[in-house]
Amino acid sequence: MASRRLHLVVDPDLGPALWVREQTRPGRSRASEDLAGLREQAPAPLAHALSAAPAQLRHRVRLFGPGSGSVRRVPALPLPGSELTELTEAVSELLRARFGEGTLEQVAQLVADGAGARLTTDPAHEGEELAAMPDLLAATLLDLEAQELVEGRHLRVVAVERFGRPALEWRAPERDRPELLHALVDAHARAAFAAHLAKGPSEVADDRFSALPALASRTTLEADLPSQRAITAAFDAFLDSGRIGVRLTSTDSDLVVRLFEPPVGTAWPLQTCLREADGTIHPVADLRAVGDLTAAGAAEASAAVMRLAPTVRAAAVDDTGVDWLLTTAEASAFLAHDTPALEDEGVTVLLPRNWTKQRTTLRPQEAEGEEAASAKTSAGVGLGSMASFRWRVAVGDTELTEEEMQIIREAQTELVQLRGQWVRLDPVTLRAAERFLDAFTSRTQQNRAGGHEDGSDGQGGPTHTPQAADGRTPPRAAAPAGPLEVGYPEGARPAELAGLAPWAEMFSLILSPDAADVDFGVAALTAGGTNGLARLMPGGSGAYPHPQPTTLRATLRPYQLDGLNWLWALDRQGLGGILADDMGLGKTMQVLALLCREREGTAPSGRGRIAPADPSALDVFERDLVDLDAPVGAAGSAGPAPSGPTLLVCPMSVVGAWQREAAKFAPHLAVHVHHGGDRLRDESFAAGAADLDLVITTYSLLARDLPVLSTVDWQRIVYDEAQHLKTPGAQVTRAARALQAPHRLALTGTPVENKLADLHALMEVVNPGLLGSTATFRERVANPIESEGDAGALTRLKFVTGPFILRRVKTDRSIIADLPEKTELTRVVNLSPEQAGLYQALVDELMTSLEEAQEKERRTLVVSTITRLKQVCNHPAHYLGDGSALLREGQHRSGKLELVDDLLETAFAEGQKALLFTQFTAFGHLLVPYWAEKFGLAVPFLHGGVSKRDRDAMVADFQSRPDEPGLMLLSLRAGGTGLTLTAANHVVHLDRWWNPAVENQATDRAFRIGQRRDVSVHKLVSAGTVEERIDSLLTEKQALSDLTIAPGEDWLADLDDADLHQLLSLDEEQE
Amino acid sequence: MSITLRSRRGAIGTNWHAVALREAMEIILGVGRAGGGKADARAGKVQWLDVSAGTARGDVLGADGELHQARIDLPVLSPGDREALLDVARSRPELPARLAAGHYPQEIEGELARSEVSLLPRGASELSHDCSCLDWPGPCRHVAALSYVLVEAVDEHPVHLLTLRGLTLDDLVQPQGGPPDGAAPGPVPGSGVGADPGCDAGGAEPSAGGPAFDPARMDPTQLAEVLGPETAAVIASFYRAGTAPSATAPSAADDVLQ
Repeated sequence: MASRRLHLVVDPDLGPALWVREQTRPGRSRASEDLAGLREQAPAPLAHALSAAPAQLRHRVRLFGPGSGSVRRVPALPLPGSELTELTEAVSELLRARFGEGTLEQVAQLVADGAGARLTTDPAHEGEELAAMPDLLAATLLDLEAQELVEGRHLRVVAVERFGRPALEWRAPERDRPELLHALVDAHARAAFAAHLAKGPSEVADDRFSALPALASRTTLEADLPSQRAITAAFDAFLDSGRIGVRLTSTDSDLVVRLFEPPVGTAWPLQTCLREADGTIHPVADLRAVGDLTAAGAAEASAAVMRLAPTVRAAAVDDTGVDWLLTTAEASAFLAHDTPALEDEGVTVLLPRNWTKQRTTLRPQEAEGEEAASAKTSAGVGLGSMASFRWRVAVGDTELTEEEMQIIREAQTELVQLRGQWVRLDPVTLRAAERFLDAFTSRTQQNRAGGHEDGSDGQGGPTHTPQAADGRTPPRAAAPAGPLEVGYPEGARPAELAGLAPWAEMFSLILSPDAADVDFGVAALTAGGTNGLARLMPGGSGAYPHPQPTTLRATLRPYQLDGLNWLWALDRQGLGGILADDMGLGKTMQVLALLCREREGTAPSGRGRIAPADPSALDVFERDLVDLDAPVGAAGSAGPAPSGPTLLVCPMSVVGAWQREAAKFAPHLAVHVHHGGDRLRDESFAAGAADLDLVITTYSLLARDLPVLSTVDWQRIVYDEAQHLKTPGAQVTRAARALQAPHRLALTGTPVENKLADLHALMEVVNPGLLGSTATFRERVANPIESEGDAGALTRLKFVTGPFILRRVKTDRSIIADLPEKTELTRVVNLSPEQAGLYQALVDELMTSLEEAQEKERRTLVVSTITRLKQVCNHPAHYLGDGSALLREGQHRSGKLELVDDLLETAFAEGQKALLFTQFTAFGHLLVPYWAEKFGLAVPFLHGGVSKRDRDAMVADFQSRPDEPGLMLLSLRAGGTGLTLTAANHVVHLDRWWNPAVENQATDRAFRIGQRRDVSVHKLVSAGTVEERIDSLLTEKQALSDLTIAPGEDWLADLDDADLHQLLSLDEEQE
Repeated sequence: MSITLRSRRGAIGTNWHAVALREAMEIILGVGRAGGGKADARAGKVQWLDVSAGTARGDVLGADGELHQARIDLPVLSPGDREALLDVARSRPELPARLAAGHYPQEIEGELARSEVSLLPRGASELSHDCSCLDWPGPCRHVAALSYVLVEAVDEHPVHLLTLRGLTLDDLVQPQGGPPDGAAPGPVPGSGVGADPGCDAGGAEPSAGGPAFDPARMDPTQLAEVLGPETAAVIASFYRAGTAPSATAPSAADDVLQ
């Protein structure tokens, strides 16, 4: 018998196969052609494993010899599927029998040594060895691994073509393991899967590729090539989903590109990175190095960047093969062009830390010193005054030197190196700044050139002034003068561009398209001019803080004092302003304070009044006029000016309020009301007015009495509720613009910034020409802001209007911290002549009736008359009940309604809501259609006749739209309790109930939990009537805690005739 | 499912490497076949294209309404040529990314020419073709149509040339040592085509111990889309029947082997 050596090979075509080398005689061996001898010689397990195999070996496998090209073909037994595992297990069994405990280690050692192992131990067969060669021994080890993989189901499935037909094969998860392992895995897995299938449902409806049988046995997979690829990919994804710690791929991780500043020189490293799900970012080169990303994945990621970024495609690749080194020009182009494309595709672009685009800003430096002062004295004050403007150009916080500006101009890239640091320029603001400075240069020159022709307004550039030469300095020339700045490279100072122009010209330039996108470095203005108008510009130091006037009999709140100083600063420079403080913040008080200060000067009270004739005082005043915010010397003050009268124009409804407040807080002012049929209309008016301090008139008289009003040398004209002048073509507006005065002031509670056309109209009244003509303003400023949302235009508008508008809001606690959350105001309104006539007639009639009345009728008479009087105060149409229109020829018939209309308009402009309470349902029914038409809003009216369900619907609807304009009428009885109407923050009591508890309950509909805004409560009281008298009685009594006056109106009937007459009769002075 | 060409008129293929491939093909095809194939390719007769080592295959709808299995063969590089290519590629670390981005730098081809190696057909003689239709020995209209589809695919994805030549992007980056067995190229993960029969042993993934594995986490969604939900459910239940998560992949026996 011969010795036999068993080999296991994996043939590329045949798969795993057994071949046997048999030693026929010493030194001579051949490959067996059949299995007969082996079967005979083999121990039982092995013989059993081979029992089913055909005796004759008909297949041939290729054996690759040690030298290339030496290929031998030997007869072999193919071992598909279970035959392989049975053989391996038989051999394992024999090895265990031989080695016992340490089988694994022994076999591993043999494999490592390249040695075989005898499988027979029978001494009877001396010289007839049966040995398993290392390849077969290794198979026993791989078989253990294969079993473990199959038990753990750590299995890959691939669709392959075997002998021209598609099949599914099970594989070990890692591709580069020995082919024998894959074969063993396939055999074990197939058996396990067949067993699994046998347990499961017999029919699976949707197995269109016959995948299940193909996995269990070796049947054909019914799939074309693309389907095979898809099946393999699906199994790969299935397997990957079971991996703990998923491997990164370039397709399901976020791509990130990171640009670094050049470590040395000018090569900008650009790195391809991936972001993991937890947000950490890794360069793909690093991921590839540690095996977390395949080389193909890294190349794909890098390729994705190149596909999206044309600049990168042409750039030099560094030695990783996936990152780049950009030149400065390429880095700049990458930032300008590629970054947006990358970001659009969801690629994150990371720039060096804190590396945002640096905006180019222009910092205005109003020239100071003698030349500026002399320019002012020669050209006057206000908008027409000449000022020498100097601009510095800054990138970020760095003001540029001439040399640096040169570098930027020449670089033509977004990236420049300034003072050792790389800076990314914002090209938009850089170009805008250049354009603006060009326009500035041409305008200042143009201004000078056209000075003589344009001389009619006296504001042309004074060509004869010595600084004109300086103004002609070419653009971007470094100003020779000025202190050396610290923090600049040695010898260098920021470059400046200087020119001389009136303020009006500057404002016009800033509003023009030339200034679009210019960043004016608003905050930097504080470092700029410190005098005159510059101080009031946004970011400036603000008006000079003078103490409050001593003659005012009230203590100004801090914000009111600020307002006064602002009014004063504008006044001294001959500029108009718009005081647009919220309702209730005391605009009246600030104007009265202004009149007081005007008459007492800003001298400390201890020094007393200085006679205007005093030359030294005049000197001080002159300086204050020129440069008021930098008071000279120890005085720091100005003497009183010889002040003319101020004309106040307001709606009729507030005439009384003005009169009252003036009398209360500034009783030393001589006040006259120019109103009523018996007013002065001849030349005596002018003479009389000259001696007065304040003349009050109404808008309706402004146009009518324009001729007589024009004869007075007004020191100032103040327009209260100036929104009455918002229509440019209206007669009243034209009259307002025609009336001349050195100082003009508009007061309004409406947020003027919201409607730009209104703002322009108002500004035309107080500062004509500041914002240009209506048409250019609409084209250049209003339309871009309102239709295109142009933030730049809005910034420029705010920049220009900043000095001239002051608006504080009640909700701004940083400014007005001391206001309560609920502001109660008693609004005193004047009766219209029609109301006054009706009122007087009713009182007269009562007095006549009372003389004849019985005691028991007296109470009824008094109470019913008081009710009628209140109706008259509300509205003549309410009392008359004649269905007449609420307005007559566009004029208000009721002072109350006029005031409420203004109040509602203001509230609606801010998107706020109002609750209006009346005790008269009939009055409510008059108001509903009127307001519905006037404001175009639904006007819900909640009164006793409304069903519970409808009330609930009204309240719900009202509450559901908190930030829209809206109003609700409520009858005091029906609406006084139980409701929550916190969507409103204005409460108006149209008429009075004389019962604070009832009124407060009504007020609390809005002022309760849920209200987030400050609530304004307006209690309307008609001046000079019973309403006002009871109101003041109640106020006084309340203050004294005297409760002799019971709430309600019944007590009135108990008064005697004289008292009653005094209480009811109309106060004639109000007329 | 059919492939629509981007090119609607004129020559197909714009990048130099696609033009070179097309010109080599057209020598075999001849003018008449080329024109017909171009028209068929534009008409969407080619149902799919599969590029694997040495072979590009596709089903082409014939005028007879039958699907014909056409193929174009370009030999895999011999081990020596493969080494020459890898030598050039490894001195050009950016090559994989460039190829993935759709650019095959022409100077690479120039460098390869010094070793008489090319990713493109070195003349018409390197190309062969076959088809299941009766137009023997061809080249038939179906091969011609497939040629143009291949040219346009290569135009956009020059990585296909690498695949045909039996290489992957990973091979270009892999450090010395390379895959275990020069004749066995691996699958091409980036190009959307999978393993080739008998070629699965090629080293594509790094072998440094795969991540831990837990069959309970497996998600059969994609399997269900491809195989059908019921079939996928049977397979998924087989996987879930696995034992507790195995430790990191190499088994005890493997440890012993080392």
